[in-house]
Amino acid sequence: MRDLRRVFLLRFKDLNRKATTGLLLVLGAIPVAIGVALRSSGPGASPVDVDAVPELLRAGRFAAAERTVRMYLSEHPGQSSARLLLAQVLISAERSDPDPAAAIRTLKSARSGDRKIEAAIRWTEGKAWQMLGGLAEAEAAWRIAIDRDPLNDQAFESLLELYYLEGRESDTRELVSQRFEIERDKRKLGKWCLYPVRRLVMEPSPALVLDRLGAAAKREPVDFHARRAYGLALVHDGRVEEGLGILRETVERDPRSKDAWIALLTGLDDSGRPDEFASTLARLPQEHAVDPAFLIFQARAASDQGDFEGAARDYKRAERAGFRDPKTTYRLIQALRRSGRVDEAKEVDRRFLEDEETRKTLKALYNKAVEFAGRAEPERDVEVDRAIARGLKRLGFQQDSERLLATISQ
Amino acid sequence: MRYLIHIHVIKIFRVPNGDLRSNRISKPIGLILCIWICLHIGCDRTTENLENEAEVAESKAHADFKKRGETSRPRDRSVSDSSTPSTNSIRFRSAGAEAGIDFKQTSGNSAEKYFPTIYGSGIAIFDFDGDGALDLFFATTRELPLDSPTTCRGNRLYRNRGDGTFEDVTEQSGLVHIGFCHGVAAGDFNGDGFIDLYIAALGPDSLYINDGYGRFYDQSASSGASNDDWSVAAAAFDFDGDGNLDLYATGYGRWAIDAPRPFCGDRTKGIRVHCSPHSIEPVRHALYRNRGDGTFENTTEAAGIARDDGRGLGVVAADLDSNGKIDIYIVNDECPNFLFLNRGDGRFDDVGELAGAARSDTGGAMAGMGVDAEDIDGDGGPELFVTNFRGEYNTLYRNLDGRSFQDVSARAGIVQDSLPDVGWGCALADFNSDGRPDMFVCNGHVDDNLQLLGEDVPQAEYAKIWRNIGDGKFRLVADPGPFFREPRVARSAAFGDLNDDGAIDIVVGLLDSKPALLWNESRRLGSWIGLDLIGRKSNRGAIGARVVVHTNKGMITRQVKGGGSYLASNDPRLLIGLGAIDRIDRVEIAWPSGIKQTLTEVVLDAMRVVREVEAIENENSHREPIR
Repeated sequence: MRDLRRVFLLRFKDLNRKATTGLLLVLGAIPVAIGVALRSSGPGASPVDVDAVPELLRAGRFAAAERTVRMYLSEHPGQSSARLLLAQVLISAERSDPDPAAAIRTLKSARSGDRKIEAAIRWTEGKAWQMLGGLAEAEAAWRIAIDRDPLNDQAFESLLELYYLEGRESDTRELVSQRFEIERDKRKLGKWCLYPVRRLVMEPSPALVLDRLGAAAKREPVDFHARRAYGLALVHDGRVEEGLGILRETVERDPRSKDAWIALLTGLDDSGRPDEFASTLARLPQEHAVDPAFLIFQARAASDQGDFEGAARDYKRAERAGFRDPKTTYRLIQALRRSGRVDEAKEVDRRFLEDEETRKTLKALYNKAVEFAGRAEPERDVEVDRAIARGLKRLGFQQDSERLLATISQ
Repeated sequence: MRYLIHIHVIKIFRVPNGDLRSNRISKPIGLILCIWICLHIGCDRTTENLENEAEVAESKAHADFKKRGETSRPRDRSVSDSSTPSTNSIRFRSAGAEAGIDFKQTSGNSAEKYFPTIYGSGIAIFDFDGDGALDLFFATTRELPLDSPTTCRGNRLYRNRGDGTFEDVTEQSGLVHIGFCHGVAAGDFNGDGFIDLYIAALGPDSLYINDGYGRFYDQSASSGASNDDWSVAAAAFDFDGDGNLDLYATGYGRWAIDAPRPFCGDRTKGIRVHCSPHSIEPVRHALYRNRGDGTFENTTEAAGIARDDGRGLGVVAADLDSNGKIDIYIVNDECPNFLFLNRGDGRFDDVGELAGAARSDTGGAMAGMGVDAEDIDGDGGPELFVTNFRGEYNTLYRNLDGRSFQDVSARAGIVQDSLPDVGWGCALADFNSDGRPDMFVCNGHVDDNLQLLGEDVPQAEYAKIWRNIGDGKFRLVADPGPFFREPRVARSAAFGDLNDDGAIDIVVGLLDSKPALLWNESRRLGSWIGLDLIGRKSNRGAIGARVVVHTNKGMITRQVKGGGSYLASNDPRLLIGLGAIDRIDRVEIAWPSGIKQTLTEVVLDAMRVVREVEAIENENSHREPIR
């Protein structure tokens, strides 16, 4: 079993290269690890040769590999590692006929006293749910995996990827904060510090979101996060009516949901529907009307009505409340300009251009940090992390910056 | 008249406090009165009525279009729609093979997905032989590398026979060339009265001088206006007011076939797609000053516009701040757009960012491709229009005071219908003579194989026309003709009155296909005038001239522009739709030289030649229409 732990730790250290495709590809390698584990820790008397499984998989003989593991499992029905192996074989990335539902059934009763194996089981279960479009179930399974093993990279990075696609910055920040406190491998800290601002420096394309979240968005019961992100991606992909329909329905289902209103207003704003935007904003529940998250929309409405002073005031307040994104800053410049405050507009414009350069730098640094974290470098690249900290500070993420710098000085 | 009568009837039954009396009384009586008046006086079908009728009919067609669930997503459109054509005021008929244009564009697209093969090639509409009929020139790219075998026949010149047909005169014209040619700028660079051609290219750019006898001579090497950088578009204009046409050539970026390049696509499947523009490092654009002796000098730095951070694609030259000096607006691919305002001393103010014309309202730098400038709200200042990539939207910037612009795309109602497309050639042009510039955009994605990667993104897209319905708003025309019912992979588009009927026709360049020639058969909703301006002190083509037409209904301002659309050169004459007017009071021409000229006797619905006077005001150089 010790071997199994070692192999797991080594296998998944670089799960987030281009995680959108990489996550599933990596599954193909897991059975090898588990096979080793079964050989080293399983009953030696078994007539079934599980050692052959990796070779069978490499040869693309998935049915034979599955048969072998099933035979082994029939002899050792209580062995969680064997169930995990079977599940992995069932959802192997190279398979043309993956069976995630069977994998979920296989793992349902799999429990391990070993926290790392238990985490691996739940992560695999999450992957199977993801393949079925059950992203809420996947998220729950990955959350359990992290609960069992807080240093489980696979579950951590799968969750980050999901939150990235669904646009869940606060969940990302919370997850990264938790991990930051316990992470021993300092080489990863710079990369993780960038996760909460990842969408700001490289927003996922609508096509990617539609591809990854499509199945989840169409499932019942409704997956709020997936459906919201899917609706917005449809709008940005030019399928405006379809996207707005989903976003309107999301608000109707839960009129008190702040995120649902934000998504609908964003969709209306981005699709150039000023009249519906204004009427929707007027219907905003009272408790949200004073929420700083809606200041940018109120500013937009003010601007549409020619109240550029009011718009500038609200955009500024939104920025101070932490909503400092390119759209808000740019619109602040335009509102200042239109209200005759040209010098102030110039000043904000300088900052806007600096922020843009910083985002470009952070994007390059992100790629560098991801690449570095994936290599077997023994030492942390402190200069890269310092540059990341500087960039975060420039974009207004003071706390993240200081936290990263603190780990360097330690 | 019918509408006027209706208004009078309503007035008759208006009570002193302004409220209408009961409809039960007023409506039937009003109707009877209307019928009586119509029977005795007659119900005119004035141009005003026509416009209103067209508006009603278009509203109905649009409502039907939406009701059928055919949203702006073009692929959902019903192809067989027999009801809408007759109700639309804007309509184009596609020319068939009888037009005689057998040119076929070669994009050079291959499995290698060489980046420059995305951008296509341009079209020029100009009269090369001085016979008064507009001819057509088509540039083309070719397979890469440049020394590989090719099936491409190269650039072609077609002479307009004046009867709706064209003949290929490339061989005798001296324009035979097979290269990687993009944008075309037509202009009389040596001021001899014959229009020359400048072609931007991957590799050396070309300058062909027209000898006036139907032949062009390649003066590229000695001109000083040809560099080896990758130029895409070009515009001819006289920035220093010396009467010689200068040139602006947009630089795209550094690209070499043997340079290392990333694999974009799916390596496991062996499928390449075109990489993002971010994979290309931008290069400096070039401003060439015409010395007047057949040579040009690169004055980019001296003019204060030596920007090397924009992958330039579209360029338009027009007087945007109404100071009488021609300015330049350049749209860049995934980089902020440039706005250079001419100071009049040989230098420009670089104001794009702060003027609000560098980005869309999202604050993002868009993938700008095509561009145009025209006054759409009647305040005299040209608005700017830019076509962008799928998922962005085409941007309409309102000209606030000549130095600041506002993205009004949402208010104009063009965002939703342009989001799904990759837009290229475009124009703000009055297609139905109602006095308001409409909007044309042709589209086509850059990749032809995204479906192999599981993305539901076809390359062919629908061209679209938005009708200007006034008050700064536009409405997508449901079915402007057969060309618009089929998706295509379009790039360039050039605009001009090819059959001299007073309506603007369109030539659309299609990748790896023959171009589409679209005859404008729109219902005319007003009068028009055509002006063929000939500069004397100003540059001969009068590029930069500003014309204000004063009518009994107000005034309309138009300019002779340089560049515009995408890789294209448009009809150099001004064709001005006037709407439902009774008369023209006067036409004021502000020539680029600074000379003001006023025409007082102007015949409606006719083209006329106007020569620049020698600083004499109130010259009325009326002549009979030339065609």
